[in-house]
Amino acid sequence: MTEGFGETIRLRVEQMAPVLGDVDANVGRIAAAQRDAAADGVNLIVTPELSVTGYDVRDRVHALALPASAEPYPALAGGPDVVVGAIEVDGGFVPYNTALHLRGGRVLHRHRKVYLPTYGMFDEGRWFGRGDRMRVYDAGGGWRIGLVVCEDLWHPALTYLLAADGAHLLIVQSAGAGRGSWAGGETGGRFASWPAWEHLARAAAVAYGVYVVVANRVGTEGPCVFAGGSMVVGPDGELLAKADDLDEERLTVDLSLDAVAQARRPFAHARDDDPRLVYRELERMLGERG
Amino acid sequence: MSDARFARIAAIVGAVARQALADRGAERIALLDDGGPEADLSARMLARALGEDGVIRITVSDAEVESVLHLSPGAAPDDVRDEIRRMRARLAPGALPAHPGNKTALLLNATLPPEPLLPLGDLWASEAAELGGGWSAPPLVCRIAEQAGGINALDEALRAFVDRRDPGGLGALPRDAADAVRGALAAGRAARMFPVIVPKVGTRTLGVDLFD
Repeated sequence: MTEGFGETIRLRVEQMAPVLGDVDANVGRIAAAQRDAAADGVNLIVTPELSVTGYDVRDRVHALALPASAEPYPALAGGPDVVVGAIEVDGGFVPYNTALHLRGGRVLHRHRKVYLPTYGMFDEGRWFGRGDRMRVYDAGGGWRIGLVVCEDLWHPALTYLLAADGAHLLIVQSAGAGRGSWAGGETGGRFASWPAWEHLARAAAVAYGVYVVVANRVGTEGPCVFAGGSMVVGPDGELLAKADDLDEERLTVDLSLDAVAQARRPFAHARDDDPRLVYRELERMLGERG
Repeated sequence: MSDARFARIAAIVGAVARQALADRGAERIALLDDGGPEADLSARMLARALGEDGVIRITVSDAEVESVLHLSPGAAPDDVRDEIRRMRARLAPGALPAHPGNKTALLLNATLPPEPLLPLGDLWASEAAELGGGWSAPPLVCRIAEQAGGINALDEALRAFVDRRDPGGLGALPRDAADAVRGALAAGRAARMFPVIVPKVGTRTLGVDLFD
């Protein structure tokens, strides 16, 4: 168990293929990843969106959900910190698509997905309640972390809020399907949908001077193949590691607060940011909307 | 044909087919083989993921059709051939039936094949032709392609109208071809309401995000 991070974090993205509806298998798979990670000196594992349940849960959403609790998966208590994707229900029995940072099996932080895609191939608004808050949390060693889930990254206001709240590291869980395989990606990858994710992650990293870690899943559910292509982007916007598509893969990268400081020193973006201006203008716009 | 493109599409089709077999406890694909280029392309893609034993190509001889024609007086021999092929695929032990139709044919034909897996169902006819050396479709769809000025022109208009959701997407077609496309889409609307497994390759996919 990790007591808290130091100034450096050895982070591992576990690009995996969760089995739809089989929580025991998926938790077992993540526990095995924790054992491997412990042997490799990893401090933090990041798994994809809904890594505990699989993605397209539909009517099984309630059967796969757990009540929000302090220690939801005891089997994950033994290894390094891990960010898992799970379904939690609140006191009103509403299920949420939730990212959980577990330390020693206990919830250090939870983020309920805010933007539930319900268009095109997505139907999350039918199954999940919508999260309503964005919070950065202290993870030890001076690190402040923010969690977002998939579609949340496509709403830059959310990453802005986390940056404004002092994040050094943004963790993005996703279950991004592979699309556009006829055209392929700009970099020769399998999916035309890849570059947009990379643009979003790198833009957030370089604008805010933060690490951005994207853990996307692989595997197949029904007609959809998930795209993989997980990545770690440095606080200067450089791509530090990227996984291939279709197959399970691990990315292991050492992150340091010093690199965050170095990336921010040439600029004054964080210093000059003016949340009050943003607040005023939003208040005005909302007022005009009535 | 681009090898990289073939490999990309085959990986998607193969992964979805493998999952479909696992989900249904089936061991192999029974591919309805009408001798067309899509059947050959489907077989090659599926075999790449499942191995040669993972795909059975279901064919029917002229003699077999002749021998049962008397059971359905008045039925067209080609329709009887299709139904025998279909029955054989359904009865193949441990097999999941698959139909090789391309997206153009599936959208513009009035009926959707009942087979649960349509491996090329998200590839336009011209795309299937690029990968497989040719395309095929029911006579009605071939006639519309001719009216449109060729399959490439028809598919380009369909990409605009269907994939990019451009209401004016059929405007590039001659008027009679555009009217024929609208009529064909309307005629098949009910048949397309029930989702089948179509490996998602493009922007809008039958049963995934195309429900018109």
